[in-house]
Amino acid sequence: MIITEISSGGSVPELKLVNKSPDKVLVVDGEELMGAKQNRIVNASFLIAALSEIVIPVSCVEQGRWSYRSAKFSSGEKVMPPSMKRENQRNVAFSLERGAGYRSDQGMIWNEIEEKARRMKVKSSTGAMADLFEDQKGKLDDYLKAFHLMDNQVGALFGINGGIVGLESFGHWQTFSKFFKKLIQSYALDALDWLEEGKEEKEVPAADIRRFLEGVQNAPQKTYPSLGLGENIRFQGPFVSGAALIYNGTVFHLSAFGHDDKGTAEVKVPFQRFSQRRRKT
Amino acid sequence: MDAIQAYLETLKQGGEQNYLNLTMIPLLAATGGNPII
Repeated sequence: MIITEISSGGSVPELKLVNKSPDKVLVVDGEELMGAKQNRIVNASFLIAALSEIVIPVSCVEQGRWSYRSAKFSSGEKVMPPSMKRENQRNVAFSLERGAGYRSDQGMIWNEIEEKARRMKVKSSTGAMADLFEDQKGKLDDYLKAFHLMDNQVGALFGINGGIVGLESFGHWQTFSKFFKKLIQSYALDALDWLEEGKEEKEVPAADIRRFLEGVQNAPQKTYPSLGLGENIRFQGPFVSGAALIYNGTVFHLSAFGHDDKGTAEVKVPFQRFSQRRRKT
Repeated sequence: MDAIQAYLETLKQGGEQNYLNLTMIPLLAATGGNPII
């Protein structure tokens, strides 16, 4: 698989993906692509047909660079942190509803990166999301060492400060295993951002897990054609929202995020802070 | 039953893992599923 800018001049919200393999390829919502003129994240999960070429919708996660660092993109080994990915998913869902395709709110993403860098006291010469991870590498490695994959594990629910934050799950354990470390680091970055003394090692109540999963199952859905194979489902309920890539009736990737004050009380403060800031601007 | 509901109903929860303020609850398939990539 080769991912490049769509032309030598490039276009911030689009990249060209060429799948030269005889197999389908999955690109995952929030996955970072590093290099070329600036780092990007993918705006939704797409299943790319074998031996095909496609333009994929992306967002910039490196505001201060627009110059070639490499001809091709490489996998950044990072996934957008859940606090940003949740908001990005909702903005992409809004764009789909308006018939504008898989577009994100680029300004929101830059603001979220900038605010996170400020809170975590991270300096980046190009405003790169990747620098947040690099700066916290030692601490993120400690999180990585503490979690292990289980047999037949296809996904996970993640909690921070005792409240459910999100769910990431795939159609096959091999796919999840490829994203396992990226996802742990992604959630760990938010966990570090929200680390509060005395909140360590707090278990997630079983009732909250049940309620979150029921929320995903019961949330009203809207279905959109995918840009590759299959279809993209967006769901928005009273306390969860998310997206799923479905192909031949099978879930290839499902992600969901919580967003209310019941069962996710511990993550309410940062999410409130973000929305309050947006209302002021 | 829609695809998401059907999918979630096939999953089992593994034992909770914790480190500091982060928790992971593994979701396990009864079988490995279909390989994609």
